[in-house]
Amino acid sequence: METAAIAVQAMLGMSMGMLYWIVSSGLTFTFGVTRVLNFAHGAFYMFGAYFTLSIFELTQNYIVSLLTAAAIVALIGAVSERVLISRIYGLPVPFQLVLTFGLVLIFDDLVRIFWGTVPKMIPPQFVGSFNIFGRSLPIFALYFIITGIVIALVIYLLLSKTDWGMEIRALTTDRETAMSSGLNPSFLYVTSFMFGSFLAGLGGGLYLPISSASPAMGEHIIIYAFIVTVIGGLGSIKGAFISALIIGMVESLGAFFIPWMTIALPYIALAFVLILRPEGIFGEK
Amino acid sequence: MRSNIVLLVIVALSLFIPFTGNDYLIYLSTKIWILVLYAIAFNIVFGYSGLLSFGHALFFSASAYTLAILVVKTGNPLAVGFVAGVAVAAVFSAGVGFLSLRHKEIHFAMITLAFSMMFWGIVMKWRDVTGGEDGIVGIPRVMPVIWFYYFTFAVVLICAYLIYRFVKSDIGLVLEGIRENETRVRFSGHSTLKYRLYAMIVSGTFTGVSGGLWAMLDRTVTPSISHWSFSAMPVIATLIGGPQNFIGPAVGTVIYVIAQDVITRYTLYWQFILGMVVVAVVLFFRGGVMGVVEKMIRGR
Repeated sequence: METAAIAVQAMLGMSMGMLYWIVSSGLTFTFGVTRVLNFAHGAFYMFGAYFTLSIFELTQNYIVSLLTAAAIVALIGAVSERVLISRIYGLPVPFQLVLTFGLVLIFDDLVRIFWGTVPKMIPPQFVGSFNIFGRSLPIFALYFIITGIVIALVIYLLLSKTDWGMEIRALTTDRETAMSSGLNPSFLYVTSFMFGSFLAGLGGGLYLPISSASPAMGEHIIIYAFIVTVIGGLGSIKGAFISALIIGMVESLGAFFIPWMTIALPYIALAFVLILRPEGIFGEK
Repeated sequence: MRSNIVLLVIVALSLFIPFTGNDYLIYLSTKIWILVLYAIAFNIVFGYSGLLSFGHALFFSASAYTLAILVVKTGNPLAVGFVAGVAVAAVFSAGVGFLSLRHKEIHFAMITLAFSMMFWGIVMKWRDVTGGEDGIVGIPRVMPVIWFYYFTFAVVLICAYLIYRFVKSDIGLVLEGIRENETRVRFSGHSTLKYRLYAMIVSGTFTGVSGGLWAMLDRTVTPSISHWSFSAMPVIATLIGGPQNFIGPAVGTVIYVIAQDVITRYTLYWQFILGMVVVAVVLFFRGGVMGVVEKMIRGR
């Protein structure tokens, strides 16, 4: 009985880990290409949830709302990149961080202006559960896991099979050589920013049905995304995948065995990695 | 030289603020002094060592909460709470520094942010000790508001002077050397990690002093002082004022607090305006106010 409960808890952890993966993969992707760490990535996640909510109110179709919302967030990402982020590529890191933090302040208040401060919900989606080892596992957990795996496959195929992916890889491996052989970095910057923002928006929309949309929801996820990327190794997509799953599992199994420690667990994992392997699991030294 | 005289005049004038008899003005000015110390202490790590900490609220609130818990929950005298709070801030800054200082720039910012948000999470959840969202109320009043203003004024000036001595000392010079060219300082035989840890501890300790003063002023502590927006405040204030100048953070803090006080009277969306200012500062005025002032003094 005990083992079954643990297995279900592990599945739940894996599903949350997949959510962290979806958001962190976007953050890692844009960071790898532009070398700017985007604090506003959490705000894009929040936008994803709010746009899904508003479009759902119009269409009553969750999947359509989710994808449209993520596409809108991708556009917001592209505009932010062109108008602001593209102006700070050469600046010292603190200025880059602070500028994207300024965006967080602006976006958070925009959400308060347009949607109010009260958390908003949509009717639950993917209700029900199925039995596994004699326990019930909510269906949304399965959706998270499937979506996470699909996104991992899409990223893999994009990077390995398309010209765009090849150029991105060239740019992230050896910037100077890539640029001197005639790559157009502006195009890659804006498209990768769109892609990363799309993933953030998708994460927010996916999380909406099992929670609610609220103005500060982005900050929780961005901290998790930071922990995931530091543990996985900054800029490593593979690392983000592995460490997101680790964090999801640690959190969920921790809640089962040592509930009073739950909030501290991801940070303890972070501290461990920092001491044992400062560059992260897949980070380059 | 001329700017020093202006500075002295402003500091001297602020001695007269209590004579206005306006309680709110005295309260606000005390708060400004406390936050000035917070920003100057923060800038040891940022302006002088070139590391952007996004987690200084951790040291600020650890000190404030230690004071509140010791005084309100266990009935210790305020002085004990204050000293213990500063000590806790020092220990935390050593710990976070040890974990984060091998990393630079982006990593450093992310790690300091993560640990400070862990503290925020604990403060929110550990209701028995921290009071959760309600915080801790009922820290006794030390002295009349006017005297507390002068007390804060004196403490902040003394601390600012000590910090000034620190950043102008040999250690401060090495720190600036590391900021400009780490490899070269390493080759000259200095352990860059050790010096950065010094900077972190001094910065965290003085941040702890400001946190203790804050708890005594408000006589309440709430989780908002642990939140990352509270870590962002000295960052933004320092950028507005100018990080490469010792009093830049102080100037920025005065502008920040007064602007916040005025703007929030007219609109709920202070963050929106703040965000716009931040973006504008990064894009157009990277030297901050003191950068502009220095240019004017040099006659350009």
